[in-house]
Amino acid sequence: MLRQTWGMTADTGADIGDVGLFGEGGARWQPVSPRLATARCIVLWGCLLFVATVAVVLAVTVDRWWWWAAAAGALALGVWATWLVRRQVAAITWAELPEDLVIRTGRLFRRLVSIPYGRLQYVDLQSGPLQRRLGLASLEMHTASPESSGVIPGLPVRVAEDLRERLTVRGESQRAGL
Amino acid sequence: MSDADRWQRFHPLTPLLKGGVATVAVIGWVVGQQVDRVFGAAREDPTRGNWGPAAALVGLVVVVVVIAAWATWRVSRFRLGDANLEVHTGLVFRQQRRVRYDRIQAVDVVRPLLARLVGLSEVRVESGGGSDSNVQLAFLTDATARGLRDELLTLAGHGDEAPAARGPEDGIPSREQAHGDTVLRIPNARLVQSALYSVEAVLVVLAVPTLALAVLLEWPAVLTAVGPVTLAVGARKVGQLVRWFNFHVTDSGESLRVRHGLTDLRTSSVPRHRIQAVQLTQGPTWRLPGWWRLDVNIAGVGGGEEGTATTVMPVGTFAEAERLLAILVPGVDRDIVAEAATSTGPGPSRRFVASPRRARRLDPVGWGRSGYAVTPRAVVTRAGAVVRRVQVVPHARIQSMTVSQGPWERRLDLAVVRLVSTVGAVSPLVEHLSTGDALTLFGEQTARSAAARTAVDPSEDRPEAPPARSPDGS
Repeated sequence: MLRQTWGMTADTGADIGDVGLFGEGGARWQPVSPRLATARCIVLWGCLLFVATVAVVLAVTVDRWWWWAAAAGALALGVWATWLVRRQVAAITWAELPEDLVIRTGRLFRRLVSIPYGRLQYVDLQSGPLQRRLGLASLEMHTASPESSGVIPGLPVRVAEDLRERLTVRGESQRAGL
Repeated sequence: MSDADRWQRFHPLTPLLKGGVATVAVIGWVVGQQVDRVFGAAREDPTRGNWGPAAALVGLVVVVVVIAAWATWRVSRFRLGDANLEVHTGLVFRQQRRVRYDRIQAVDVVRPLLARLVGLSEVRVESGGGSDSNVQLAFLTDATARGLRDELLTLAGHGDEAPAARGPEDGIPSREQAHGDTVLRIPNARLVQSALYSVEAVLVVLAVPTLALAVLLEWPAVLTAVGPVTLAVGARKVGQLVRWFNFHVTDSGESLRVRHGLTDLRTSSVPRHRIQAVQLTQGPTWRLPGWWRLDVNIAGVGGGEEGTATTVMPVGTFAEAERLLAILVPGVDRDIVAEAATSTGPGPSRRFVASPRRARRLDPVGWGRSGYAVTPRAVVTRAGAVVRRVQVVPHARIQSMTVSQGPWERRLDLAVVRLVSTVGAVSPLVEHLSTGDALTLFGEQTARSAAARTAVDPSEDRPEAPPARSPDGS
């Protein structure tokens, strides 16, 4: 859409001007792993099934009809949340531009964040036990301002490690400090 | 020079001043007792005639306190090392702190009332990373404190920016610049007047007759409800006034020096190369006299004590604000800033990109003011119809950017752009732009900031970073 070249990025084709708030644009957008949805759903269903089980046990022992309704409600909530989680995970995409890392998140509340490589102070690679089982890791970018931290959740570990390596190298070469 | 003789001690009066309030209280009590005795109002002797043991006990306590204070003073010392400021304090709980010169963000000279009476000052060194990382060097004679401040600023400056990277005025060594030209002096009459032109003053003015009436008609409920609030609001305003009294700003080349205070004289320096963003604000009550307030974001200095370090002009005319702005952000387009103060829509020069008319559904009053303009050095944002706000963010200082859009904004095809700065009083953003304009700003600004970052000599910001860039960037 808005192709503005300022002499800096003319040779590389992709330009942040191509970045749309939604839709494809010209940049090479990379999705996060769909296994992130699996990880989030496991946590979600873990909680909801516990609630539903308790409700069913109570329904059998106390014999009040609303406990059945509560169990059904929990299951319905789970189905809706599963759909939501899948949509949310599918909405997370990121792209490496010549000067910046760009991350898009959200469907209802959309957000587009750009972090210049030269501004990166440090990069965190995080992975919880569940994420590790699924071979996933989160990458968190920190600049001098806590307000501008960007997170890419649920990258395959290999991709996350490679990206961190590239970010560190680019951060060194384009370092701008404050 | 060997290491040992570079260690310096604080002024011998330090323990006395640190226990200042306690000392004054004890002296006051003793004097009070004597006065009572002289006028014959003393009650019976509390020691019941056992003068000897009581005197011995008091004497013992005094001796122990004096010895402890003296010993603490003996072990407290500091020195300017090769790369660090080193401070040792504490007798029982020993603390050794090192602050690297290139991490020093600001050096203040503070003079509490008691210290001022005996001509002593405290040097406060702020480094990145919150209030825990601050160092207080108390107390030193005024001359030593000023010398130390200049020396620390020079050392921090040498650690932080290559001397060659600075402007043509560099021939003058920084110590001679220390007492530079006065850029701004705010008359105390105006400070008082500005305090009266505030919402708090209106409240107090309304509350006083109410209270008088309550006293006359004997309504204790009103008195207890309104009284303390009025007192608190009034006291806060008076406290602010006392703090801002005698406000003046001098320009010493590398940094601006801000001095103010009636009882506690405060001197803070604002290093020019660490300024990240500037904001002008004007509330509705200041519209008539045309006053503005000027705040800055300084790298490494978070919003510590209520705006002390980050407000460079508590109340001033627009012309004064412009003068400061020209120093804080050199080369800023004055016409655009002046336009940003009052204009709506695209502005007289038509250089502003403003919110579209449909944004009035989200912001019925201020939508016309919301907008931005791009100048060669900085982005100028504009907002607020009731409380007017102008923000200036140099291209090279933007940390990162965010475009966001909630469901209501999406229905109206609007978006918010945040130009993220460091932590501080100013958080630059442009609200309710049309999505197209928001993305234009986002895209173009990324390129502008990248260009500005590379144009700024890297050595100016961070000497340890190699200026050479790898050719392929990966």
